[in-house]
Amino acid sequence: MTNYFKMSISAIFATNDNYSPAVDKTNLDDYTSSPNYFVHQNATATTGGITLGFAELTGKTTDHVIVKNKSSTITVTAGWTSASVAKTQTVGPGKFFVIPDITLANGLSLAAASSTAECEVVVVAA
Amino acid sequence: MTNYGKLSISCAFGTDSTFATVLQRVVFDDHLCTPTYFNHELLLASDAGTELAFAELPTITFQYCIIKNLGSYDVTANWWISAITSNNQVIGAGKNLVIPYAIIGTVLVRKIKLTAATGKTVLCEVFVVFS
Repeated sequence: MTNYFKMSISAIFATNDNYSPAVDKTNLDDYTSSPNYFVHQNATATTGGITLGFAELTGKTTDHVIVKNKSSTITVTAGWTSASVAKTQTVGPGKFFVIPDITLANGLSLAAASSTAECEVVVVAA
Repeated sequence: MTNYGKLSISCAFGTDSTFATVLQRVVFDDHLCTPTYFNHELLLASDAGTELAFAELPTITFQYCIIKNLGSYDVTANWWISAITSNNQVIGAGKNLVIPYAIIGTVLVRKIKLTAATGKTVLCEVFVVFS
């Protein structure tokens, strides 16, 4: 059975809070693929950091990973290893991070700057 | 004058190409209040690397940078997390990179660089919001 994945991204910039009329509005072309894995889960980042292992995806190159920091006050640092290089990215409160084409060699780590921060994670892999 | 921005990502996972049957659908929104700068343009990545700099802007916070690879070949994106350190990430054909980046930057970090493989050029769509 073939699976199908679609990602749509839109952005609006306006001078009023109902976004109409928009000064600029962008709908990026949809991205589509036929992945084998689609993982969607919540995770609580701690100051010591947690690691989402995704054991079944080890060594596979991801299609896209999305990390949404659901905290309104606490910053989260996402960490991953790709091509043997450890990388990190700050994800501010309420923000999301989308990264393509990484190999989850040691899973995905999420560390809160203080206390704990709820995150929502989507991983799509071929 | 107050400006407003909104970024949305939706993704769907299903078993048919028309997505008439969706097994999972996830929507992420981020409402941005008072962004001061909004840039949206097409950028042709070359094998020597093509930079998009925002040196004309004052010291500000970089809220989001979205890079969409519109071409048929990989592109490597570099973004600076300090004056001397950059992150890099391959973006496959058709794929998206969304960087949420909050730093009060110096001139040196207010840029991105897109590099194509040797002998290739790749059209990318870039969207940046600063506050």
